[in-house]
Amino acid sequence: MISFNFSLLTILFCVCLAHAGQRGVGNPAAAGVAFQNSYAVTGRILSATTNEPLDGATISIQGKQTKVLTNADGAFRIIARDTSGVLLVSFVGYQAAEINFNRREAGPFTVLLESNGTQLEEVEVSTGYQTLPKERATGSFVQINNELLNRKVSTNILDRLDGVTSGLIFNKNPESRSAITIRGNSTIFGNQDPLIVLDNYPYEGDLSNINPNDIESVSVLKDAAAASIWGVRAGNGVIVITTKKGTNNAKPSISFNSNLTASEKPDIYYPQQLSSTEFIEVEKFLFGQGFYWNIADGFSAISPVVFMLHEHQMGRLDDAQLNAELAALGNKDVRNDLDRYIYRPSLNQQYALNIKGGGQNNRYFISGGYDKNVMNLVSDSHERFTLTAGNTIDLNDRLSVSTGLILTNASTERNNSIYTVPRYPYESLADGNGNPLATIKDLRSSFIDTAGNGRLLNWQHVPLNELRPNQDEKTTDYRFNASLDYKLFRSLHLSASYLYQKGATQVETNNGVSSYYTRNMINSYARIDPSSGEMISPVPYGAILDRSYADYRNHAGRMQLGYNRDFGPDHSINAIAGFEIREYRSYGNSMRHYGYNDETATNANASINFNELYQQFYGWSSLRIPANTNSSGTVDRNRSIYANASYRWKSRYTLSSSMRRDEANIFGVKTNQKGVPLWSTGFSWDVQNEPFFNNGSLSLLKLRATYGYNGNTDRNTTAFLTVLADAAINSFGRNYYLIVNPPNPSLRWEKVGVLNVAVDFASKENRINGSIEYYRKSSRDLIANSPISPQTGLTSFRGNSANMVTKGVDVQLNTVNIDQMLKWKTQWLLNYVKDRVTDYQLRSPNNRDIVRGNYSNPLAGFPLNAMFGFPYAGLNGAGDPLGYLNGNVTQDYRAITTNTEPSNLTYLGTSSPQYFGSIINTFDYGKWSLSVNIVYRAGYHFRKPGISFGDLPANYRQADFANRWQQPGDELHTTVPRMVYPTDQYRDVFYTYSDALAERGDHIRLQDIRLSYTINGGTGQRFWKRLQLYTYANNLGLLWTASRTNLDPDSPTGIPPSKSFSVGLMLDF
Amino acid sequence: MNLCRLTLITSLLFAAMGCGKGFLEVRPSTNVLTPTSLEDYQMMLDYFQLNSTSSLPQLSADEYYIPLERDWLALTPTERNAYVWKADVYGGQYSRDDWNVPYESVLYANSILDGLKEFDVQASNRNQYNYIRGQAYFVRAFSFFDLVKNFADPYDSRTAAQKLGVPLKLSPNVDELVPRATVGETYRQIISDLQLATALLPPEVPLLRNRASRPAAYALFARLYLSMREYELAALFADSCLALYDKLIDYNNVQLNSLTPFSVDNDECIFRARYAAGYAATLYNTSINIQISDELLESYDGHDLRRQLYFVQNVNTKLVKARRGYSGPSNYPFSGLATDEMYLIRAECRARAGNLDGAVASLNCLLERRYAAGKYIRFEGGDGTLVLQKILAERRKSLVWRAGLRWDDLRRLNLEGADITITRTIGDKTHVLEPNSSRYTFPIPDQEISMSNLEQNIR
Repeated sequence: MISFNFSLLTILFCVCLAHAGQRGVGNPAAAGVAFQNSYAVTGRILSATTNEPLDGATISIQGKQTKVLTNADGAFRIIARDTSGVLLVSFVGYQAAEINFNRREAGPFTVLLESNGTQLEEVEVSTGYQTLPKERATGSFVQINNELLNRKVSTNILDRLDGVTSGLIFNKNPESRSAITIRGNSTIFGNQDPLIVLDNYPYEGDLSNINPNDIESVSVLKDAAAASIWGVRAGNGVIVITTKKGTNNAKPSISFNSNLTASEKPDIYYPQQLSSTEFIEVEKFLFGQGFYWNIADGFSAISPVVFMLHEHQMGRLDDAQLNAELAALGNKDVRNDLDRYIYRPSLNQQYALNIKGGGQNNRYFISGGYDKNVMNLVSDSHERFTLTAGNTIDLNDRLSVSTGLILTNASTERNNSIYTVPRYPYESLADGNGNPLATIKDLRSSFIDTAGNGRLLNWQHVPLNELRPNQDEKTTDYRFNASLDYKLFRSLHLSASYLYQKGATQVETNNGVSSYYTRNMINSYARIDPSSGEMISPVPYGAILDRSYADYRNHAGRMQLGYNRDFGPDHSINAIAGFEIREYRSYGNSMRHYGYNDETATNANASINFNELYQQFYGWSSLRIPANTNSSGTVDRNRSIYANASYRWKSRYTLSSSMRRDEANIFGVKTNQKGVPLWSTGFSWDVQNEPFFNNGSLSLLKLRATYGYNGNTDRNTTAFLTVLADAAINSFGRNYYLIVNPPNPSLRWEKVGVLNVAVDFASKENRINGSIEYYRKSSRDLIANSPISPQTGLTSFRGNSANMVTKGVDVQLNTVNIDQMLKWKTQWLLNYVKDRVTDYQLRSPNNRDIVRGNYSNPLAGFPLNAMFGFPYAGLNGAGDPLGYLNGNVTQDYRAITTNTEPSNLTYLGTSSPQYFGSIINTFDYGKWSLSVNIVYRAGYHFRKPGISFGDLPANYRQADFANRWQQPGDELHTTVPRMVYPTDQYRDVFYTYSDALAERGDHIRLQDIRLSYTINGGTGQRFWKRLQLYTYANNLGLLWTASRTNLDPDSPTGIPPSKSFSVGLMLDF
Repeated sequence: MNLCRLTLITSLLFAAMGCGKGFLEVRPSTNVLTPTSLEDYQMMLDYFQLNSTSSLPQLSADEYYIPLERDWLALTPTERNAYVWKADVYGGQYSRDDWNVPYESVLYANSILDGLKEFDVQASNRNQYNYIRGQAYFVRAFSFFDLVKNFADPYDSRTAAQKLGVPLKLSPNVDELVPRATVGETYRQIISDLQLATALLPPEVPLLRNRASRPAAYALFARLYLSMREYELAALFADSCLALYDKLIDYNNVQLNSLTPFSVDNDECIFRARYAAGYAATLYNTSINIQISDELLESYDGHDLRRQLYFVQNVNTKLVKARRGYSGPSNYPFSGLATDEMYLIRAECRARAGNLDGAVASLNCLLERRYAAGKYIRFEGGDGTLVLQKILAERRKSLVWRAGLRWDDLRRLNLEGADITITRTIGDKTHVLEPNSSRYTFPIPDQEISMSNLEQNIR
């Protein structure tokens, strides 16, 4: 491997030297010998709107058979024999042009093509290694252009892909470990996130640092031919983001975009919970059963209700007083206070300004952005500044230099202990006059009131006094890249590029001495000195400041040879080969300052003995004062070689192929086992360019097929025994190591074989265009976490233990339905995806594990996210649930749940949608444009939350309590079991995972609406070129759902995203 | 052309960076490593979980009771069921640390022993190398013994070749699952490990009591042979242990009112261990609704300092529960090895062998230091039965709430014919555990049974 790289470099080196010696001698333009009678007509075809070269435009001479296509520079050369003639220039999406030529005026011509308005935009897709016209690609690419990206209003770029990208889904089911999945799952426990590439290099920072206004387009690479160039990181698909660039010979153009987005308060009333009266009933019931055994310890938290019941029992409260107090609490709903004091509507402001343009020899783009988000929690806000600059200079006709810089400065403020999860449903955060009230936190109020006879600090927890931000997170991220592109020969380019990215995040959490956190720390360690009666605490009086710092530094370098040449009209070759290295280092540390003084920045850590065990003020524990001082770092190193080549014949047949070999510094593995070679190959056939193709209705008919391998890694799993230095110490004050990975000599990298077959089509005039793609992904040697026999010393284990097949179809269709004054366009997206685990070496031990977590230990023969339920036979006359085991109705919940035969379960389908997509209708009428996105998901199930009585005392946020069986006869109209005590875990598991709680997830949603009004500045009378005013409304709600409940299938447990409304303005000068 | 050269230089720079040997050899994380040095192995041995034992025998023993039915109902299923010796102990709690943690320790021991096979031993590190190996063998023996005494029937030389013991995992290979060995095989493995440990470990008890020593290995031998009813051998090893380390704490020098009267490295502790699983409501000093057996409490007389140091009364409920014993400030009670147990084993075994004077001497030596100064009336002995009864009674009073020893004794003494029946009363229902009942053996947790198809204990 090493020698190979060296020889590659040596070749490059020699080529360079040889060429340097030649420089200035040859004149490439003089190459090529004309026939006696013939002569060449040359020129360039550019887009009239952007001035950018049009690659792949068709040039022919009227009345002749000969056709040529323009190259990437828009240049063409066609041989003419007649003395004069007419050049016909055509390109999809542009109005055709005719140019007269003759032997003396044979160019070079510069032809500007006007858009014909219905264009299938000239699509260039970027893989991060090269940019190629979509027409020449064999692989599966989805291009999201600028217009589509700007449809949505958001702070984050990725959000803008939701609902507009074929084959890509934003996961809402709780089992998903990644936010986005492209074409279904291809891994189980490996990294599930797609690779995100920004301007040729993987983006290692937080994507929320990127200003979406700086982004020109996004390409999504879906199959092996498209993505395998990214090797072992391509297994989950690749999202390539390209920033805006300047253009040559363009006057500076300035764009300004600003918008304001308001969204409603979160609907905290959406999740079901027990009402205050119901919860008081539960507490009374449990109190009667003697459940609250901790009452006797004298200090631990007990609810106000339990306290009063206890007082009543002790005879300190009479019946009337008790009932009156309980009735008063029963009327309270703490959510009213949360809604009033803790939440607010959010408001996001976004401003972006950019300038781009270029001269003869350079192209530039500069932009600045500012976002300010006031978030739903009253303590939280976020601010972001971005600066992006890119410049390319052509130093001469061979050498150009590009530099790019992205700088982000973001800061987030929040209160990390803001009170959003009340302990009891009947709490009050404020009295009738709005004065803050205390709630129960760690200790009961009767203990707090008397502990230490007033010598301690106030020990009350008052949520409304903790609303100011106590945490400040500051992120600075910068990314610099530079590249040199050197034209060695006519068609051979050598480029070298380098990227440096660094991000640093500092989080400061300052819990002032008035905060509950700090008061509780001081009091918990305190004791009362028996002689003086004073409080002595080893935790110094003063604020507690936690400061953590994390940074990463990413270096990457790449050297690439590119070859791009047409041989005559029939052959063209496009190839790249390169070598890449990358190092990613991260480092983090955190420390805590006790007794911190803001003004002097001093602390009192020196006065603390962190090894001493201190008896706690209450209870039996002796604890050390936590030092919270940690540091850690990681280093990822990768080395890759890659090549990609395509050959195109007669503009009809394209053959492509790629290979890549990756190596990484994975633990303990010998160098020759650290690498994995991956490859792909593809073929496409442009049927419309066949002489026999004479279909009047189609202007494009292209068939494509590819096959190849992508990879996936899990850097945490290694073949050797590894141990982790734990942050804690043992009872004798020693640091120790924990086993994190037992030896696994048979470990292999995950591999995903991907087949993609597709057809692209477009009608004449482009009224209808689209593509249909079929794919089959076969994932082998998937690394999975499985339960394992505890005699091994572990209860779960990670290793290559599964194979999976994912199949699907992506359909994208763009139609122009009406093309009059009113123009009505529709984009239809339909995706079908179905996966099946074909082999899983470790079986789930029993049915309980299958219903609870099939996704973590999937059954072979079912989808990865298969959902199972215990068959439910309703309630018996006593309100106890009945199930089936081996076909018989039974109440033996233990037997049902520990049964090992999956055939005793109901298979409910998958929890990830098998069908999803969107329909975007756009109506243009004069200056008005209206766009409506309707999204749908189907073919999946979700589990509605059911009540688990065992969790009830600690968790009132459960559904269906009111519907439970309460008296004989109830079994006729409810399936919710009666409350029992003591609770039975088997019974709770049986009910909450019974098939009675499964719901179909199919739904149609009105995702968003955008309305805009655009004024074109026209010629000269206005100082702007284009002004657009727009409004945008998002998360508008469900139109239809198959579920019998009122739940949003995308949020059966959490809170659905709030509706938001934006107004904005875009101005181009 | 300068820029052309720059290109070249950049290219060469990449080559230098990427092709240099060692580019891929860098450790990917500062906190994660593959252990290779003896220091690494020692840090693995210092992992706190290696010093823990099953809590189940404590839950099931008759040292305590729960006065109110409602408090019993409020317990977790395992606490509730183990208390009344139900056939199904875990009540849906599928994976239990009582089983898992000892096997985790076995994995550490096996990984270390496996890693040491390749280790290059020099004269300069031979001592440390032996020390590590000795500790690893000790950890494995300690864990297997904890497993076999809880999850297999009591050792009986007549049935040991037939009765099922526990799986003897001897390699760190996680692909390999082993079936249950017999009780005889299990004990032979433990003895073999302990013999190796004895030869390799140093004779001093270290300050860091989580680490094994030769006295610790002898002490474990003594406990093991006692449970096998091999009393001569038990006496021999208790003696060997005390010959190396025989310190006793005079309880008169202990602060009676302190919440932690005994430090984690107190003089009697030979090897530190604690209960593994957190049955907080019953076992630990946070518990508030359990009461120590009245009969046991009444057996301490007024000058017996153990009464005050071992128990505490809740001010609200007036219930008396056990304190943490020798485990220092930890919430988990002590379950390691200590010298007081060795004195008692020696006394008992001497008495059984007819050496009554020796037995009485050993007992008095201990008890003198358990009573208020000058208040101890020396035990003068008597006939063999009386001496043995006295020793067993004092054993019960001294080793209370420790390492499940009372449960082990019930298993052992019933095999000796002691015929001890224990009962629990919940509401109006009385549960009885007959001598030598199959319920003296705990079931293996469900996860193990379903993952490796082991034969379950029939209760």
